Amino acid sequence: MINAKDNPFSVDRVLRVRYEPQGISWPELLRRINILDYRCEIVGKCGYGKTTLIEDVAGRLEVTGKKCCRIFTTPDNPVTWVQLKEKLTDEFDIMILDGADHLKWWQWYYLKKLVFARSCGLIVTSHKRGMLPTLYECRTSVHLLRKIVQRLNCQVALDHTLIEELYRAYDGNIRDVLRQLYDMCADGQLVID
Amino acid sequence: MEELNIELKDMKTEYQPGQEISGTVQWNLASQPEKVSLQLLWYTRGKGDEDIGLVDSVEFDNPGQFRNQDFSFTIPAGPYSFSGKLISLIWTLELLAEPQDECYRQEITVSPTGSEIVLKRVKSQYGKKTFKFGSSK
Repeated sequence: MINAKDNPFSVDRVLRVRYEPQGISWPELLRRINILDYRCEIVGKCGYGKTTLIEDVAGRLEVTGKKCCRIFTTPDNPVTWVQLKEKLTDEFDIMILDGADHLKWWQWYYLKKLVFARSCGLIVTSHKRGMLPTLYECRTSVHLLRKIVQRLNCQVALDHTLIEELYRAYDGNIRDVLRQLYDMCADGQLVID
Repeated sequence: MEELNIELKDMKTEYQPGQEISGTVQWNLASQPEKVSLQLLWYTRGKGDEDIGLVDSVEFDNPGQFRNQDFSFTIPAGPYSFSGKLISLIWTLELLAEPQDECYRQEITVSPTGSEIVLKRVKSQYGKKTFKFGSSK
């Protein structure tokens, strides 16, 4: 058995692996955000990296001097209208909303109206297109999964069969694959560095 | 080059609740810091999100670019240092210099015996679910 703090797939180690946009550079992505007037969406399936990407986008925008207001909402932990209104009293240039498609239709309608009325930007994540102009669609691949696993533990990354099987079993959901690798490591099922 | 260091008295790293933890911190910075502080805290690592508990801290007045400074804290009643499959709880002293954003950590253990408590699997009365893939080990 491997202890939690020594598990190469522990959450703190996974979170250190940041998003690398595929087919576009970071300067180009930021330029696109600017062209879209800071009102756009990041789309993708569960576990495809939307949260990681939007966090990195917010961080890079803050470095340029933009003030970001961050909201994170999930079906298990939904943000209330009271909480949204409270956030709207903050001073910000861009609202970063992770999980926009989890809002009720009227929350989304009024939130968008109020944010735009303030001439602020709004960057969101969603599982489906259509909430705002699409900035980027998160996609995954076996190659991407292998790259991520290699950053966390080279020995595990060498097991190509395992990586491919896990990718298929979890339908490309990299978050769930990494959780499974955590468990397999914890149970001593994997050879690690 | 920025240098920070924490030296524990008698190089002791294992503590029991209620004991004093003391030693000396040293820093040698390339530029004048605005703030140098020492924190006693615990944090978790593992499958879930990180939790942090700041237990005590001291900020050193007029820090200067280099100094040797004594410190002392009292170890609280808990939580104890432990490690299991899903979660580990780790105690640490953290020396921070700002705005350089330099940090030095010295891990310690806290428990009634001074050693980390290792959590072992408890056999469940229910059947265990396993997940196996192809030819993987």
